[in-house]
Amino acid sequence: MADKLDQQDLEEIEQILNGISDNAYEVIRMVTALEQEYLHKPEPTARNAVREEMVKKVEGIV
Amino acid sequence: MRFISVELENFRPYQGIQKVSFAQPSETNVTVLWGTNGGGKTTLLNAFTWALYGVLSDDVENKDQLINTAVWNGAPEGAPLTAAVTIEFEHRAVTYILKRSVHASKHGAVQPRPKPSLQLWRRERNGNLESLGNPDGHLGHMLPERLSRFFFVNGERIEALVKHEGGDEVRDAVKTLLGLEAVERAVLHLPRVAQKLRQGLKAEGAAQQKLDDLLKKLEDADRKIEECQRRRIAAEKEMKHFEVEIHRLNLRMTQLAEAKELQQNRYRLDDQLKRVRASRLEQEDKRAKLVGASGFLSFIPSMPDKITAVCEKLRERGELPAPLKRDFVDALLERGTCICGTVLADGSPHRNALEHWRARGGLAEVEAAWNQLQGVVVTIEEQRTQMHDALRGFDERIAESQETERRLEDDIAEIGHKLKSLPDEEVVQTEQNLEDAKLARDERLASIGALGADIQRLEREKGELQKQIEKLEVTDARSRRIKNRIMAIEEANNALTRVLEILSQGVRRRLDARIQELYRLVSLKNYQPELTPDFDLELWDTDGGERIPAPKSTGENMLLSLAFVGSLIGEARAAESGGRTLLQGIGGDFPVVMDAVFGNLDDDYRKAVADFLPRLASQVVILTSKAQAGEIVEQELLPRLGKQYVITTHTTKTSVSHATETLTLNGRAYPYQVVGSDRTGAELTEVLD
Repeated sequence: MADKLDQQDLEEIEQILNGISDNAYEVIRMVTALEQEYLHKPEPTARNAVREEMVKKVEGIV
Repeated sequence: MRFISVELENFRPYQGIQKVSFAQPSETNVTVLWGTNGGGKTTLLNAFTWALYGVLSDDVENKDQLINTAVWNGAPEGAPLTAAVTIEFEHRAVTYILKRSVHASKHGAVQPRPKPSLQLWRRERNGNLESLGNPDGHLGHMLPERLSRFFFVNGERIEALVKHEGGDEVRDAVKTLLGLEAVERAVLHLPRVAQKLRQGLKAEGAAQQKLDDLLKKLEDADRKIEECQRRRIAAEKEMKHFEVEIHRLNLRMTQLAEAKELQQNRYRLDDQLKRVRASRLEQEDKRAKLVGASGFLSFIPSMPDKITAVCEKLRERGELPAPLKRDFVDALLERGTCICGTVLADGSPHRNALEHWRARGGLAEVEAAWNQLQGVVVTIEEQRTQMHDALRGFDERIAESQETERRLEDDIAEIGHKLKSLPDEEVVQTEQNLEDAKLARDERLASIGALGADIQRLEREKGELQKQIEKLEVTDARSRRIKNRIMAIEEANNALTRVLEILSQGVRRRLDARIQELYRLVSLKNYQPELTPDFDLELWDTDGGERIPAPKSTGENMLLSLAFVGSLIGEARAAESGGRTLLQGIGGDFPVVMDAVFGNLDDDYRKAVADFLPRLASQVVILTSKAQAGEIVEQELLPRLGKQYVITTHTTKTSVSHATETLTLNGRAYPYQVVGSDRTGAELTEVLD
């Protein structure tokens, strides 16, 4: 039962991710990697660092 | 992850260098460390968390005094002293050595505030050690601190997990485990990135002033939303507190002899009320959907007759169905010859006559639509009748549910009155407290609802402002690029929010299934556990057919908590093997270190817990006193024992009542409590086979 629901979840997530633009997908990839990097830092530190770095990272989107 | 060894150097009561090597994952995966109460077991548990995260549990006294007191006191003034904990472990087939140490020069009797340093090495294939930078970061990816309390378990406090206030910790642990914490933070942080980018937008002339105004309003809206969210979180916390109180008071009522039966009845009625309410809401939802999809039918009662009349007129005039198809006339005109063979020359009367007929010719699409419409029109009346019947059915069922709800609410209120008129003062007071707590909870609930509505309104305003900013003509290519970036960020954030919700509920569902399975294996009662959508661990008694909260005894709480820990370990293992680490969650096999899990349990539960522990994880370390464990635990654990150590407690006191001088294990006697020793402290000795 759980496996079937897991499969449904994964399909739903796949649909969401397939339905977004390449730019949005790139933003997700960049921001989750950054958050992972700052995960062990306190939230305010991570918040500021992610904001500053993301502003630079999205410069690739034209 | 598996622990290979831990080495303590002048750490708290452990003088000199002392080392424990752990039993490895196998049939004999359990390491037991036997120690007296206050003899150094909890220090050993804390040695793990201090080495890994630099934290000691709240119950540790004199937290700054990390260097062994005997060593400190015996050292000359100015002498450099060290305390350290070194853990050797393996993670994903790589061996690591972790060392946290604190150095201080002795000046006086009191140790200065420690400034620990952390080092992490990776053992290379050739045996060399490579020092790793950012050790905290590495450890955070292997076993984050947020999960530590589930793998380094203090038996005396693990029960908090199954209490309502444990919900937040459970939720956090689950999110960390699946890597949702990073997504959660991303959802929080992305709007700030968009906000920062908007500040770089530029517009032309007067539009710049408008842009500045809009940006300011947007900032205000953000600030207000944050304030509302802060207040809502505070109200939710308070509501949770009152719910815990209500839960506690309800359980207290079942323990009061005079009130027990009435309270059990109230539980049943509450449960019925909850189900009737849920069913009514479902009916209301279905009714709303029906009105949304077919409600228009009610507003077109005369439409079918009008359409039929119009069509009838067209038919009478011979226009429907058309006597001739336009496509057919077009083909003749294009060919330039009639079917009778007459040449249709340009300007000829024959061609003119045919062109006149072309105007009267019907289109095939119109004819098809007419046929379809005829079919629909005749069923509109039928559809309307069906919809009205369905609506009547919904209305009746909703009214019936409302009536049942009123009756149940009256019955519940009646029980309240009866309880308050009982002679037992404690019952009356408990009921009064319960009423007060419910009132306070409902007030918070109302605030949460109002704040939620405010947030929605502000979000709408914010959306409007964002649209206005998007519509503004930006002057340069740079601003256009910024707009594209903002759009991508907003799209990403919407997608991540939806993904986060799906993943959170998915992992909760899997953990719930695991907890139920594990709990069924070990529980001595026929209760049913549940990890609720709010991540609270609940225990239900379903014996009487109705679901009522089960009275949680210390033993059942312990088993339920262990089932939860087991489910987390199982989920981490499944995440690793099933490749489900979609978002870089924490996967793998984890050991569990448990202190004082047998305290306060009766023999049946000690046996159940001892039977359960070796199956909980592939490597299990148990810290217990001989008195807490007793013979039952020893017998139960014996087949799974890989290693044993005795923590010998030394005290300079010359008289201790009921001291156990020796412990006999595997036929050998080991010193357990040394009274009248030349020092105070703890000493580790491995038990020989």
